[in-house]
This record gives sequence, C-alpha cells and structure tokens, in this order.
Amino acid sequence: MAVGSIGTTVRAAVAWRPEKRVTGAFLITGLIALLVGALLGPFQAMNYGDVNLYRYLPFLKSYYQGLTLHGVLNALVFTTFFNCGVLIYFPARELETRPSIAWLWASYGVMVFGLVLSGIAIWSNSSTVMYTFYPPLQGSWGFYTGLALVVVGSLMVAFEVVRLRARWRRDNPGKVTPIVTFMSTATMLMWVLASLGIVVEVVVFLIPWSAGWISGVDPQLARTLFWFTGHPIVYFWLLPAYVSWYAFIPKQVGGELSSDTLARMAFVMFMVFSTPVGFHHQFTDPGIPGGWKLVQNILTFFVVIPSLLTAFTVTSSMELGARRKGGRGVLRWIGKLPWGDASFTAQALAMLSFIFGGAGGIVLASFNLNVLVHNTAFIPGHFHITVGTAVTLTFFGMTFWLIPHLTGKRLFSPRLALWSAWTWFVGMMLFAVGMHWQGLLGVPRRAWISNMLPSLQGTYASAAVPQAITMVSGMILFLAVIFYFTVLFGTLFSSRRIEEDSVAIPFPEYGGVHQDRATRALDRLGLWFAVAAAVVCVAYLPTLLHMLTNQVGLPGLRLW
Amino acid sequence: MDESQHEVIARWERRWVVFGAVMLLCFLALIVFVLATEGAHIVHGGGRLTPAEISQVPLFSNPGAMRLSTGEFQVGIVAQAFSFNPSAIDLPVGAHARFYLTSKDVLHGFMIEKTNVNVEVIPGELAYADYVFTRPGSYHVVCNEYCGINHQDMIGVINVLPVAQYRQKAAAGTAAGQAAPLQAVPGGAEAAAPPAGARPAAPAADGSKVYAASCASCHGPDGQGHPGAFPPLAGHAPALYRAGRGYPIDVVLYGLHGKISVQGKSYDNVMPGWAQLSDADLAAVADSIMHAWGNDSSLPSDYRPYTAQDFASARGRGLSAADVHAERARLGLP
Repeated sequence: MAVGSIGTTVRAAVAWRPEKRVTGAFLITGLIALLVGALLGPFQAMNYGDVNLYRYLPFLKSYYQGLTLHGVLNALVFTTFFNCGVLIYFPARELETRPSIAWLWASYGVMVFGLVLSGIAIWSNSSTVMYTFYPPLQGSWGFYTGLALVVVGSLMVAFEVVRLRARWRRDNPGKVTPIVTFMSTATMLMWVLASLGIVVEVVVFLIPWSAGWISGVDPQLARTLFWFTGHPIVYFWLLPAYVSWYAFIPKQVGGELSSDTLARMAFVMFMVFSTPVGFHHQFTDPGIPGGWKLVQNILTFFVVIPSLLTAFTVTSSMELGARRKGGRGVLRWIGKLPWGDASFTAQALAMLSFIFGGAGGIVLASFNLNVLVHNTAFIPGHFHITVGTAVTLTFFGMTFWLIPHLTGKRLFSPRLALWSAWTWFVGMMLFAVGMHWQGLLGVPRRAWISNMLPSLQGTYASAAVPQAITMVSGMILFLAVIFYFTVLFGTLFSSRRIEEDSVAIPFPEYGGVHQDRATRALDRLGLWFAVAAAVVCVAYLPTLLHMLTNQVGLPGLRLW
Repeated sequence: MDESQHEVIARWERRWVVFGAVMLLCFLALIVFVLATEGAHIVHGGGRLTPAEISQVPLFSNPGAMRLSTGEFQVGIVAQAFSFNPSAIDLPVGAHARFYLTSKDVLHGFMIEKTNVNVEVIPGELAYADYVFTRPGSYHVVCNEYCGINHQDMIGVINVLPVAQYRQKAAAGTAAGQAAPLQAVPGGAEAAAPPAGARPAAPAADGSKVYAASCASCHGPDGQGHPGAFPPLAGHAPALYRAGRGYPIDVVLYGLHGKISVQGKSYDNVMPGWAQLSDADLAAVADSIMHAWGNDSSLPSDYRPYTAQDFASARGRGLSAADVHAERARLGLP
C-alpha cells in the first residue's frame, strides 16, 4: 500500500509494532470506559420504564450520579480515546510514515491521567453535574481538570496527525494527500477549531471557579461556550466512522469508492460547517438573539449536505461491490452484501440507524420544531441512534478487524460478533422509539422519574406504552453489551495467534488519486481551516462579545 | 468501475444532492414562515436579572398570574430547586398569557405539557414566552433541565378553567397562583408597583400544605431529608428551636449556605430563602415542622408557636444565606 514516501519508509509489518501498541492502548482504554458506561445504560433505560433499579447499586448515590458517569464515559471518553487511536494509526500506515511514538504515549498518558481525575471526582459524588456540567451547579476542580486533560491529550494527537501530513507533503511535493490521511487530518483540524469553546469555558472559567480563585461564572456564557464545542464534538465522533464507511467499507464489500472527490468535499464541508451551529442546542435560551439563532439554524442545514453526499456515495460504493458479485434488481443486490461478516454488518446497521438519526436531527435543528421536544426524552432517543449506534456500532465493526490486526489474535467467535451487532441495533432502535415517543408526550430527559414523590406518581401515565418499550430495549442492550465484550475480551485473551498483518487494513484500491483541479483545491486544508475559522467568527463573535462584556458571575451550588 | 457506470452514478448523485438541497430550502422557508406568523411562543430574552435582584422586581417578589387592563395575563414565575413559585396557577380559558421566568439558583426548564412553551430558565436572565390557552384542563409544568437531586419532582400545574369558574374563584380569592391584587397599569410588567409590605393576610394557612408544596421536595414528605444532600427535619427541628428561636425564622426567610452537620452526617449545600411566601404561610409551616413526625415530644415546655408577626419583623434585614450560616456557628450548632 505504498503511496510513494521516502525517508522514514517502513515496510515490514513487524516494524509497525510500536504504533500498534499505542493505538491498541487508546482503543482498549476507550472500550473499557464504554463497558463501564454501557453497563449503567440498562439502569437508565429501566428508569425510563419507571423501574428504579438504582437502589440496588450501593456504590452510586443516585440515578444522576450514574447518568453523569454514563454520559462522560460513553460520550466523551470512549469516543475521544477511540478517535485518537485510529486517526493517527491509519494515516501513519497509509503514508508509511512513522509518527513520534513517544509523543503519542505522552498524549495517551495525559488523557489517562485526566480520565482518572474525572473518574475519581464522579465516583466520589462530588461532581454529579452531567457531561454538560452547566454552572452554577459546581463539580470539583478534579472533574473539570480531568476533562480538560482529556481534551489536551486529544489535541496533542491532532498536532501529530497534522505534522505527519505536513512531513509527507514536504517529501512528496505536488502530490495530493491520500484519502484516509486527508479525512483524518480534516477531522482533527475541525476538532482543533471546535474544542476552543470548551477549552476556554473550562480553563478560563470553571477550573478557577471550582478551585475558588474566582467567585462567579456567568451561566449563559458558559452554556454558550459549551455548545460551541458541544455540537461539533458530535462530528468529531462521527467522522472517524465516515472514514471507515468511505475508505474501508468499499473494499470490505468488494466494491470501490464511487467518488474520491466527493468524499473529500464532504469532509471539507464538515470542517467548515460543523462548528458555527451550537445555537441549535440553545433555541430556548433567553440570552441569545433570535436572529442569530436563525443564522445558525441555516448553517446547521448546510452541514446536512455532506451527510446526504455520504449516504449516496457510500451506498453506491456498496452497490458496486454487490453487483460485481452478481447482485441484480433495484434492491435485490442488497442480499449479495456480506451479511455474514460481522464487521460489515455492524457498520451497515450503523448506517441504517443514521438515516433515522439524521432525520431526527433535522427536526431538532429546526428552530420552531425544536421547542416541542427540547430537553425531553426525545433528545437521548436521538443521540442513541446517532453517536450511540451510527458511531458506536461502526466502531464495533471496525474493531472486528482492527483488534485482530493490531494484536495478532484471531477474532473470538465471529458468530457472537454478528449477534452483538444485531442485538445492539435492535436494542437501540427500540430504545429510540421508546424515548422519541416519550419525548413527544412531554417526559423530560435526565429525570429520575422512577423515584418521584408519591404525590407525583402518575404524572407521565400517558407514556406507559413507550416506557415499556424503553424498558425492553434496555434488556436487549444489556445482552448486546455482554455479547460484544465477550468477543472483545475473548479475542484479547485468546492464545490463537495469527500471522502478523494477515488481517490487512482495507485501504481503498487506488486507480491513482485524481489529480484534477477540484481535488487539488480541496487538498488545501490550511486554507479551508481559515475559511472555517472565518465562518465561526461571523456566526459567534457578535453574541460572544456581548456576553463576555456583560457577565453576571454566580457562585457555585451543589444540589445533589 | 467503467466510464458509463461512473456517468450514471454521477448523474444520480447530482439529482440526489439537488433534491436534498431543495428539501432543506423548503424546510427553511417553512421555519421562517412559522416564526414570522406564529412565533410568539418562542423564548424571548428580557434582559439580565441577577438572583439578588429578583426580590426587587414586582413580577417576581409578587409572583403569579395577574390580569392586565388589556385583558391579557402576565404570569411571573421564579424557578428554584426544586419547585416553581407559584407551583399551581389557575387561568381562564382563552387567556393570553405571557410567562416571565427567571431562576434563583441553577438552570431549570419550564415546559408546559401539550403546548409548545419550552423555556431554558437561566439564573441571571429574564425570559418570557407567550401562549394562548384555548382548551380547559390541567397542564403539567415540567422542569426539563437537570437541577439537582430532586429534579424529577420539580413539577407544577396550570389549571385552565372555564371563564365563569375562574371569575368565581378569583373573586373569592381562592384561585391558585395569583399575584396579589394590584392597581394594574396599562403597559404591563414594568409599570406594576410592588405591594406595600408583605402580602395581605391569607386565610389561616395550613402548615402541612405549605410544607408539601415548598419544603418536601428537599426535606422529604416525612421530614427525613435526602441522605448526603439535604438534612432531615424530623428529630432535628426542635434542637434548632432550643439553640435560638429566631434562627429557624432566619433560615426560612434568608436561606442557608455552607457546611453543616446534622445527626452526625455532614451536608454542604444550599437552601434558598422563602421570603416570597406570606408571613402567615411561613409561620404555619415553621410551627407545623416543630410538631410533625414526633418532633413535638422534644420541644421545650415553654415552646412559643411561631406567628406571622415573628416573620414580619424578621424581614428587611437583607441577610445572605452565608450570614445565616455564620449565625448558626455563633449559636454553637454544628
């Protein structure tokens, strides 16, 4: 898979062991975080079935503490670790260029230290503030510092990805960046810009405030800074899945990427339009002018376009593969896809879930529709089929070849792997039905509804049917977790070694990258980064400047 | 992939993207149209208002529904952990209501079920949203933003009554959640003057009802508190009385913020002040707590019941919740 590099070219599979080790560490740490977070999931689902199982978890003080753990571990920790692991490894292998292993281990160390700090803070119930940690609810300094360190570590990895590509370009003048590296770099650059909000919120305001160095924080400002990062972070979670869909899935189904240029265009659009959209989480906030909310509503719709492109390009790439295997008819070719392959099946189901997730996302991004469901159970319903399935199930699918590739161990029970994909998909789709439906009936999100005052019981009686659906989904998802982690640990602890690199990275077959003008223009990632920054300034600066110059600092409160 | 295949795919891809873009444009046009024609329920910002200023704004120092001379209703509501004040509000069918909202402590939500009123209630911000109730019935008001351990219990109600019934209740002074009657001035909220002194004396207040509405969400329906978060009152309130009869008055009026220890367990939390309740209600609830759950057995023999006058004379000293914490330390309470 040489793309023509010189200097630090490394060819022998065995020589990649240092990269494999550090990537493996990122992935396994992320997946263990997911295991802990996901095991709490069924308790959350039971709560939304009006059954309070938290009383049987003596080590957790409340549903809210469990939910904070669930959200932080699954949404922030699992995704960030996984992304950092794959987004440096794939470019390194594609470019056959060695990253700084010491730097990567240092990044990993920073992130693990952050994870431990935050983990202790949540475990001790000092920071039951949810993964959105809106002030004036105040967690401990360790919670905020830990989260900041996880972000800092991920930015260190981003730096190394950008450096890797720059080095390759220097050594290969005039060549267009290979596609996986292009996508990985675009994703990391987007994250660098997007993380600015949360970095300022946490470092400038929340850490000094929780440590007692400053007395007050403005809740409206903090919330706005949070969502500056809070929406693009979902693209940071999603884009590594897109890398797999665009670059690896075509090869896995025996097809080819139907359009290299359009794939690149999708990523450039994500870079530009992912960040200036955070107000669509704040449509019901009083402190943001309606006009700017509408502007960001429109920008959010722009970011739908690259996902529409993706839906088409990825599907057509799969169709090409299926037709080569003799697939016929308008839809019958779908049967020729490799449904016996857990890696493919998991990712195909992930794509399917994203059709519904994306549609729900358009509803939520619509200023006037959003108010009907803002902060209701509709929201967790939505993000469990986007990040919780489209992303997570794709990552599962990737691990089914990636873990054997990295560890040299044979995949433990491909059949159980297939089961884990289907049970996760069915469980999450049911969960989504239950939660979207409850949301439409006015059941709020993040509420310990199974532990309400006796006088209030029956408040959500009209939601009994969707509550039952949610409860059943929690049980199915519990099985899915058991299945998946049995496969994962079965593989890791297996003694059945396979030949080094016998599971190859399914890089796309190149008929040579198109060196046309469009592809060259898209390859100017620095320029697109500047465009993205400019769009963000237009969408955010007027509102943010007003907030920064009119702050109302409020002291922290602990109400749990 | 041969050239002809490539052509076909490219053609369909163009169609698909154009279709998607046109759909999105249609959605956008609809959004703008709906906002322009029926956007009243959308949240509006009313400017900044710090929690410390809440008691100086008539809308919130005298919260509840008020019929304006224009026939519309303004409804001032203060959100605080873990209740809305007022938590039950009667309105007549057809009422054009404008809800004014702010928070005393942390973020809260204000969502009226079966309507499209949904407001992020942020301390430091004043928000308002309009709604016209066309159907009679009982509408839950749900806090949908996590605000602490009893977030799930932060539920109020709006009772939309037939006009005649509402008028009857309003005339009799039994309509729930009404602001104290004022000389309403055209021009709305800002023009309304604050009531002179405390609210007019209410009919003999029922302390246990006040407790259930305002205190039970933290201290528990049976006074047991919430382990680790909020201290019990059962078996504890008489000790406070013995330390100083005025101390419970200050806690209830001005709140309490700081580390305390109750029955060997420590708490580090905040209790909001309840100055917005009437003196009669406060006296009734204080007295009722002193007698409930077996507390009466440990009251001193010279116990003097709390009176509205006690609370009236304790007002206006501008204590902070931290000042009350200092008072607690001076009294030798852990």
